[in-house]
Amino acid sequence: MNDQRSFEHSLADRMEEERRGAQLPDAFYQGFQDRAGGVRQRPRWLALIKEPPMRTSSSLAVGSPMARVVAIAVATLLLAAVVAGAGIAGSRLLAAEEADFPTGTFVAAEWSDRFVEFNEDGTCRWVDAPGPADGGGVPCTYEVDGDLHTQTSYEMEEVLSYPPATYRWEFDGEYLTFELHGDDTSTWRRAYYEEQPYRYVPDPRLAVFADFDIAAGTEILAGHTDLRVAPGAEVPTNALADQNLSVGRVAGADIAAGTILTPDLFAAEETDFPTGTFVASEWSPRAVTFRDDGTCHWDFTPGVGAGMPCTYAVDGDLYTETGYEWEATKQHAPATYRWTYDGDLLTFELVGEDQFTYRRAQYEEQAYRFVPEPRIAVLAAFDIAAGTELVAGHTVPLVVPGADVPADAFIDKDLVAGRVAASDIPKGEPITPDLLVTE
Amino acid sequence: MQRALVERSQAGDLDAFTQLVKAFAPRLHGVANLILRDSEIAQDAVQDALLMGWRDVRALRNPDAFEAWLRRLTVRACYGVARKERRRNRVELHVMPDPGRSSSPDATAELAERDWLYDVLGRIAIDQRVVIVLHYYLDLPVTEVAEILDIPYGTAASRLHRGLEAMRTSMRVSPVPAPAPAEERSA
Repeated sequence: MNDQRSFEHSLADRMEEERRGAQLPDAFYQGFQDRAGGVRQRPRWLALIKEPPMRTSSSLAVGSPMARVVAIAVATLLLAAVVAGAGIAGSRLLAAEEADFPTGTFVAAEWSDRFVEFNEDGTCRWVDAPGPADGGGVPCTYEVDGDLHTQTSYEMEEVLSYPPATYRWEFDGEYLTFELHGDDTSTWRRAYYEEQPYRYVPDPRLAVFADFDIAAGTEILAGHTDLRVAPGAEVPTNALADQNLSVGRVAGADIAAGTILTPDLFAAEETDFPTGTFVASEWSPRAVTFRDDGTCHWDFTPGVGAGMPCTYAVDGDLYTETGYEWEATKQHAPATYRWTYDGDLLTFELVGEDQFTYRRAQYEEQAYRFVPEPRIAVLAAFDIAAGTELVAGHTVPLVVPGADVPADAFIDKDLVAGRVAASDIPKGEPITPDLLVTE
Repeated sequence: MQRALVERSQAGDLDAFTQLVKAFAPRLHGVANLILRDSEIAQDAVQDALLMGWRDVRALRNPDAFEAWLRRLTVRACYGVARKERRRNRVELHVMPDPGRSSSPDATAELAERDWLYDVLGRIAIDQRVVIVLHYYLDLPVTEVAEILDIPYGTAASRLHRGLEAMRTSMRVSPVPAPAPAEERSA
């Protein structure tokens, strides 16, 4: 309770400081006058209708709810009348009116890794084989007039001279189909449009699919898999998004054609993933401990707070954080990283997706250095001159190799705050009683 | 005095409205700056709010409520700007240390703590941040915060409580950073 109060007082004090220093440059007021000079004030009746009502101390201070209700009712009636009139007139003039051409990502409905993106700005892109080899696909532009879709240009070196071509389109909410309207001198384009329907893909994501049934025990080759676009909701968070990650691995069970590959589908490989405690190699208090039993623990400020317990599994060079317990997010979706360890530095590289950006920063932001016989010690955060009274920012608790730290080094930075340096203390030096003036 | 200026503004006197702007804009900018965490974007938001105020000042029935109404317009403008910024995928912004202040270790630690506090404030949901800023920066009671935001008292109180709780949680896992060495700071 005291902590809560002190935090709220601290917040209130900071805000009060900000309030005292509040000021704006003269250019702000000049800018306001210039802009306001070009704005006409609304007449009272319009302002009362437009401005949402506001009450202070239960009395109406701004706007007019009644005027708004009346205005909305009148506007609705007028609109309904206009719509009804337009509908009647339109139905007479046009037998069948157009629907909106759908935008988004569409995959070839038949067995193929082709997909197309139609954007609202009239640009589009055809992709035949997603991935680095495809070079980003074929960019294009299009126009829609009723049920006619015209591809106005596309950028493919060999066929730059082809004129636009028009197709009649239909969309049933899931499948988009095209039928040639007139001529298309590009057989390539015609095949793309007419060969098959395209299925709409919400929240598209790339994932590696099994291209064939793969029997358990089979060593997976590049030809066994395909990189495709799939609805994000159907793709597991730790799905592979790079075919190379599956090449050379052995199927741990039968994998049916069309299955999205995840690390757990592979037979476990021998691993020499290191256990023990590691600290961020850059200047940071972050530390992580990996234990043989598959549990791990992140410390963000060693010695302060409970940190974050987690669990992990390792399969070959793939490390998966299978769970963690952090009250602020309650997110527990697993994420997979490829790890490397050179005997000193342990690094991680994301495989697939990690929905939790904070965790991704923990793993990918920097390398981690192994710490033999770890212990916590309070170190100088930067060079401290003799005679300086130490405040919180002068020191930082870090996990360090036990052999590098004197036995009497402080482990609680609060015990150091307020003490005075007896001599110059270089950055990184463990703080010991003999470096401080005796109280 | 303020009442007279509001009434003159309602009669179309831009100079009178500008006097009101000069009186209230700094605090409104403080509010917007804490919500949006970027001084220039906050200035744009406050300008938008003040222009809306000038355009619709005739909707004000009670001139004494002018300041509360401007606060509401400012918060509304901040929400609009935040939505636009989110669409642009803009990264959260930074609170720069005041170069005029001393850089002694104490002041550095204080600055670091202040920046850290505002960084933590920036990480919580904007609905909660708005309530915290109105309550602590403008020192408004929760009832008044609820009136400005046009939400029930219980909702405002709940956002305040959850916002503080989220800040405390965020502080526990991401404590105040150690200040950089003197030579790095001056580089």
